[in-house]
Amino acid sequence: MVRTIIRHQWLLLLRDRRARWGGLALAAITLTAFVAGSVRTERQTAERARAAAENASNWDRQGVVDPHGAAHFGHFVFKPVSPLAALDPGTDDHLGTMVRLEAHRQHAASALPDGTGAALASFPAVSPAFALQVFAPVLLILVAFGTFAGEGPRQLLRQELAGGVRPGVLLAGRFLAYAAGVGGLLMLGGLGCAVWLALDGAAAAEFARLGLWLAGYGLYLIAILALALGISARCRSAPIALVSLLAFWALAMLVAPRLAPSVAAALYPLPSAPELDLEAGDDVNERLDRGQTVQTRPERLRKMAMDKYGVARIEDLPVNLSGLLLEYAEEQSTAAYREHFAAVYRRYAQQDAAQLWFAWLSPLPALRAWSAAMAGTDVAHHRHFLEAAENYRHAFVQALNRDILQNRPAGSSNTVAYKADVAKITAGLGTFAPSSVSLRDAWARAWPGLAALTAWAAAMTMFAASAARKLARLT
Amino acid sequence: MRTFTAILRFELRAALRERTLPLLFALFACALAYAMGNGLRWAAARTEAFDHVRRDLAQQHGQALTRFRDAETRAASRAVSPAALAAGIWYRPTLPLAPLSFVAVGQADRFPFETRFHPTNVRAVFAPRPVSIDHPAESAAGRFDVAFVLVTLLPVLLLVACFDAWVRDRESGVARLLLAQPVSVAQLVFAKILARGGTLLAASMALLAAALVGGAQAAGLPLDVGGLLVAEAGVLGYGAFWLGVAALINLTVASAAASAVAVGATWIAVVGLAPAALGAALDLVRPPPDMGALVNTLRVSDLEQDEAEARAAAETRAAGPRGNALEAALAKTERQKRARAELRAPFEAQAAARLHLANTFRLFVPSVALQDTLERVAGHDADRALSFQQQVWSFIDSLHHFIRQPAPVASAKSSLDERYAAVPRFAFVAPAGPDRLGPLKANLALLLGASGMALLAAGWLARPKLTKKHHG
Repeated sequence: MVRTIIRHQWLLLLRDRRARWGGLALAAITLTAFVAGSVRTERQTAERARAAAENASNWDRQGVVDPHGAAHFGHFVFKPVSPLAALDPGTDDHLGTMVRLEAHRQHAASALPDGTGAALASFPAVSPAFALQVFAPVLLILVAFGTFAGEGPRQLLRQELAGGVRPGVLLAGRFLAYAAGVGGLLMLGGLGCAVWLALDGAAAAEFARLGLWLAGYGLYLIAILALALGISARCRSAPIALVSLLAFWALAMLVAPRLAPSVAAALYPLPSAPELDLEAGDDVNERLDRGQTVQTRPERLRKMAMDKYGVARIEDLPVNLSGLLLEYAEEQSTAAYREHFAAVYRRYAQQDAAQLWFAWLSPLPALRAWSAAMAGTDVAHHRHFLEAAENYRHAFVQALNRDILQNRPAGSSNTVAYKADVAKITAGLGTFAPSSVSLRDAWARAWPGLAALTAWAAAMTMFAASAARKLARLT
Repeated sequence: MRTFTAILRFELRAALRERTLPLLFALFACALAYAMGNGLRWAAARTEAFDHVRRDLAQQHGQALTRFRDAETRAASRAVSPAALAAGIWYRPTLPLAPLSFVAVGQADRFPFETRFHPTNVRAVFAPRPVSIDHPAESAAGRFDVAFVLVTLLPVLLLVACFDAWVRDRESGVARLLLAQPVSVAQLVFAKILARGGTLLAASMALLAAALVGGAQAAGLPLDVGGLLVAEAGVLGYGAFWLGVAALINLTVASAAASAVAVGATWIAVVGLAPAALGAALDLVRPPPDMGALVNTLRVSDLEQDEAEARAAAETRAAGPRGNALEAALAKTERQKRARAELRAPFEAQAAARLHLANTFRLFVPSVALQDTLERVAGHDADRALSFQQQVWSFIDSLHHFIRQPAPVASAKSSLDERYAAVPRFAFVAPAGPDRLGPLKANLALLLGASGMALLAAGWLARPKLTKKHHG
């Protein structure tokens, strides 16, 4: 019986102009968005690879210079583009793409991918994720709202039920017909993406990420479909069903996704960039008893140096005092900046948790979090890159400080007196190449999103099933 | 006209009895209230950021003044000139908030609102630094500001109020009875749309005006009456466009369900798809400049310049005694500035061409035109931010000029604080005249033109020869 209903529903779907044209439009939008996204990510990948190579050559061409001057010249490192960013740019368009690495301070990422600043940038960019998150539910609603609603007054439902089919079976059959269509289209799209990944030489983990990414969308669309059928089964009139579903769509897909982060930001406010800068700087100054020049370093630091090397006078130190103090200062400033940035990320985590509460109102915040996590374009992936950059910064600055400590004449604080080939000093560190976030780590952080989507799909399916029991009333 | 007014009054009473209009207005009021609160919170956070910048600068200046005071004490006969003072302190110009800044966050997070520099080193001016450290999810989802409510939600409410204004009567057969009276389809349709959508739009505009006045007071900002009128005119044009769309759809489709589908599809096309498609086209036609390449180019230039300066300094030292150190430092800064400006020029030209195309694209879509209008009214548009950058560079020039002038002999009676007060300060001058009004006029012309076209098209569809069709 269910098979017959599915076949019949498929026939109706194929005949339905709304479904045909809507489906084609959605496929065209998604495909165009994917092509535009992959062109963009390819351009960004090439630009960043070129910039990274230029940065390495700039570092090497400094030649023989003051190592501390070189530590201030520093590096610029560029954020790698995730292979799945063409599917979902996530928060990448709103995060910096490069980080300046220099002595004494940890910079945040700067230079947004698109700093054009026209009003167009205030509208969401087109991407396959956006098409599936916002447009696909509309299409499902437009196709499914009249599945049961309006059949009652037209006596069609009475005829169907008079044929001996139970309302639950009827709803299940129609649900499965739509779900098969949704699943088939997702699998087709997924297959295309897998081929594209394979041609791009992606790692196996990327295929797994793609599969999980699609699974999230599958659950999301199932939830929307079940809701549409449930509402359709509960409403006597088709326009009322349509308006109710569109109202849900407007609330859940337009309002809730913007409401969630703004409420979270109001609950857990963040400092401004100048405030963070100032507070971290004050903290560093406090740790280092600043306010005094290098020449009049506080006695505490001198004593610390003498204790470390077991000498009674500064002049007896076997190493260069400036190098020693630079090394110590770097440890202190690194600790201070890491602490302040960690506090910012703790706030981000609190905001993320607050946003997830909006998953009760709409499945979209949960899907967005899951989708960006699987595509490698969420804040966690950005943080991973920043931490790798910070570790690299600390390593190269301390390598230069150690060189000063060991090789600059012991009593000298004159930067002109000692110069070294900085490229040789930092050769052991290699070029900056951050590792990618493992799937296990991404999963560990993002699973609440998938759990919320599963809960939505289950709840909406139960709602549809309960609505089916009331179908007979419409007759 | 009398018939039209009578129908309008009747429809208005009917619409109010249905409770749809009050409900939709209440929804608008809630969304606007939340958006206002959000915008004011954002403005307060930005004001706090300015306070931190000021505090940091005051601290730096305090330290510098202490140094100068010590120097004067050590050499009692020599007073530090205002020029030497100007050359010895840091500067942090800021882009102040516009009076209606809480209306739209717009591009405020994409452009620097402050920068720092020392008169003898301008390499850090507008160096890439994060403007905001807000959670990126907030900007990725889009800000819940007044602009969002007006550009995205207001059309939804207007369409919900009007989508079945005439089509419902046609579906139920009432249209046939109505048209048996001596009234035209155009009179009936426009009266119904005006009674439902027009009333909602007028009430929303009144509420918006009250909210903007109240918001400016709450934020402690002066009221920008011109900006308020421009925002209202933009909303009127945009709202009228959507009412025209609703009238058109009511006249072309046969059922309420089809009308709901059609208005939904139009809304998605105008508010979602068209801007996204234009954004993608912009990326393909004029990609953004490669910031990594710019940074590397500037760094190579810095390296080469430093090497050349070091060589020149060594030669000068070998040749004889040193000249005026401050003059030498300023000359070096001038060279830095010129070299950097030359290197930045192609990147800036690419960014300007992209911005120009994006600004042209906005005139194709009413939603983008209104967004642009509101961002300009809020002072969070690219033109104002770029004007800030130009003014900072001009300020650096004038500062150098001030320092280079023969230092006026400081009066023995004038205190260090008085001389410090004579040091030039940066003050942003908001663009005015054609620079500000030109784009706004273009936006308003587009919005009013689009609404006029939609209403004219509806009027054309409702002309008498089609009356037969509307009998059902």
